[in-house]
Amino acid sequence: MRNKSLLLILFSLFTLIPGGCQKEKSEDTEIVIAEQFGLAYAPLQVLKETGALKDAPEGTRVRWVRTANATAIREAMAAGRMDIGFMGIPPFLIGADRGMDWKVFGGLSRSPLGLVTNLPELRTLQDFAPHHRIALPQPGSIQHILLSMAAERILGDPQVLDGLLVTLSHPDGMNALLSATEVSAHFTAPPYLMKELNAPQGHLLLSGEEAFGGPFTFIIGVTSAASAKKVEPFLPFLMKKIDEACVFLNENPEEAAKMLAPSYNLPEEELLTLLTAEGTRYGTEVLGLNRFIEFMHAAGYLEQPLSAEDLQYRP
Amino acid sequence: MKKQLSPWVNRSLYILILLVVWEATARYSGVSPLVLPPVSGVFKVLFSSLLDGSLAANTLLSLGLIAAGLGIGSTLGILLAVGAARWKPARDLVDTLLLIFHPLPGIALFPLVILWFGVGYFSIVILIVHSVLWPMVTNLLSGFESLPEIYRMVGTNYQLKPAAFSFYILLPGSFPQFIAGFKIGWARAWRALISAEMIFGAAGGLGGLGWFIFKRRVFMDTPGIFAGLIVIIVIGMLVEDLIFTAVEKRTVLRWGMKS
Amino acid sequence: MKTLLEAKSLAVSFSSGAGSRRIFSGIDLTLKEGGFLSILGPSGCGKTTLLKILAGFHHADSGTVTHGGKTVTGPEKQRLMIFQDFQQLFPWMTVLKNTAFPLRFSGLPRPRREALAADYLERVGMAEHLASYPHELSGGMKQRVALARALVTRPDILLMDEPFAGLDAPARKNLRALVTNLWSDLGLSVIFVTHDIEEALVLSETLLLFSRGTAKDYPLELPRPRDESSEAFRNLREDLYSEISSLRG
Repeated sequence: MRNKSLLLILFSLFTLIPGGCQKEKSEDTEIVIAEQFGLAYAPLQVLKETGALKDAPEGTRVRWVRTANATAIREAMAAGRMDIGFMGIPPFLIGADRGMDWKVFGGLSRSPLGLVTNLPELRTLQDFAPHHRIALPQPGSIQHILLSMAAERILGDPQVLDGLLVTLSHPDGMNALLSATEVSAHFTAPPYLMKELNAPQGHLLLSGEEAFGGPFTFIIGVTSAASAKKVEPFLPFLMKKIDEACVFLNENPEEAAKMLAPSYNLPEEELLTLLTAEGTRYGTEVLGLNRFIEFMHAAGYLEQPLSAEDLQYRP
Repeated sequence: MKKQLSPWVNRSLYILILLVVWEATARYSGVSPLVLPPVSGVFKVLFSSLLDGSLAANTLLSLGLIAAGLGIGSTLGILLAVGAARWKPARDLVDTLLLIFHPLPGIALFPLVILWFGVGYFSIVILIVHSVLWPMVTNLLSGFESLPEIYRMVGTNYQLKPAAFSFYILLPGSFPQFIAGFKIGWARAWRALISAEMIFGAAGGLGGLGWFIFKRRVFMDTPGIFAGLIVIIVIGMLVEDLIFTAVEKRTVLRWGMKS
Repeated sequence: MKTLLEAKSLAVSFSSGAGSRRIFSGIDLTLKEGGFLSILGPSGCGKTTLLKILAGFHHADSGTVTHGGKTVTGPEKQRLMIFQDFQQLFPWMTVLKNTAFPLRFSGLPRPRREALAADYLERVGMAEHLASYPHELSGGMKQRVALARALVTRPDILLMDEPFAGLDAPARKNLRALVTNLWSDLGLSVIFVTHDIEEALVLSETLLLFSRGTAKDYPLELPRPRDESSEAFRNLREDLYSEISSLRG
């Protein structure tokens, strides 16, 4: 009696344990691509709208998955449940530092980012007092690392503002800032960035490029070594299609705005303003990888000495 | 008949088996340690974060928030339930409130709570109070309803004033339901707390256990996530076994009010 | 002896669905100070309803009840009811606390309250169970405690609703003796509802026969202590049996 129930428990435990070992085989290769929601992912939205991936190499099927943040993509890729993902550079580096075997295969977009406040007394980072609160998506996000970079340069210590941080998603962060509760500044991205800047008293404390000290790629495409074999025939095709989508977005923003307005649930004119905003640029080049590695290592966010060279995808 | 052993003997055995299965899976199944870290690694992180005081501070903060939420929630629950039991319009109001709020998960209220109360400890306590209050009121009202009529008659015969009747007869007579409500409240308070902390993060640099887990997660420290979970599990076991069991032994079991 | 409680032409009917059913009517009764009045009748004839009306828990459709000259409008602590239900003690209080509970609102300090309670518990033979909880007691012990709790505030009148009905014969016998002793020692005034002829004969000074919606005084001339084997007792019992049978018709 007792032995039987014990066996049963053991058995159910084993079946509960997630594993990379039991992948279901089918004739078609299914490639799972993870993205997030936002204007920075517009090239992927173009691919979906135009059906550009339909003529993928034979035997390849694409499945899109949308997640709420880079952490979820990272975890799914670590468990072997996703093949390709799009995210900011810092979450990618943190994963690589913790031992994830994954590579960057290209960029997707650059975007204006910024720290916005609606408090007149806040003009620079030096004006922050202990009672102020800064909202951003999460520790280790690109917004957090950019803030740390600026804190190091302006205040001399990358972690000096960490005690003021509040983790909030972009929309919650905007609500908190505009409702004038304790959130005094919000490090965010379009379209929240523009909405907050247009609100009464809204002004920019720090732009992403000021913080970084130059242009950088906001979103990159990543693939895991475990999926290398599977994605090898597909990746050049995907990169070419992304490149075409980027060109389309950069050169025909009006047409793109018309195409994407329903999926972003924004009026066409507003979407056009956002697509053509200064600092928004779509392209597959990867800018700033080295600088992120250097800074994050020096500030203690990365433990291993990573090399940008080794992190590039090579077929 | 087998001799009755302390539940801890059997429980320890199963926990030990679980740990062995875990360690074996982590070591020999080829699963990445980022997905399932070995037990040894988890305990290393657990002890180091306990020793350097960070985990202890996070835990104490969480327990403090839960205590505040449970305290406020139970007190409000008692006041609402007693009010409803004494006064018909209050009963209708409480029934309506229950209908609206009881099925509403705390997490669905986050956007509103952020808008109205911001993202500080106060908001977290509000969410805990919300998750404690309604099950407490429901349980107390059902306790009041199942109060034997004869206690009421004895109270009436002694011409007890409504306040004295509520305090000396109605509430102790509903103590089993109060404890049941408190247990549900305790479990829900944890859920509310952890999810709130994972959404709000830390206020003023210090966060609770939810924040501890969340931070470990965003920095992909899987052993750290497990360490946080273990602390939550251990606290749950200790409270269930030491506090709830002891309280029941001294009250409803002692009084013969629970079979 | 002066009259303590008086009921005049009480009538009660229960309305159920279409019509209403008369329970009883034209009931008169009187309890003198230091009296012991038993209301004797078969089960289900409305004795408990009558007692609850005397206590003030229910209202009669017509008729009046006066206690010390004042009309009864609701339950009062000067007129305490002891129920048939063994669960009338509070399970969350010890025997001592249960007994001392009514004194909580008397203004006496706690040690004084508990001393008084312990004193009455000793009188009912429960001195050794002060720290027990009700669920640990037998039915007879619970009723003893209920008696002590009712006595501790020294009410004018005790209204006892078949308090020993659920007990076995020896326990009933002991409790009858206890009630008789307490009544004479403390000078209690009691109205006692029972369906048991012997119980009524052992305990009562006056007797009210209750049947088919009416009641009738029954003269009771029996010396105390009451000896159940005496000829007078046996004759009275026979007489009562036939009286009740004739009442039933």
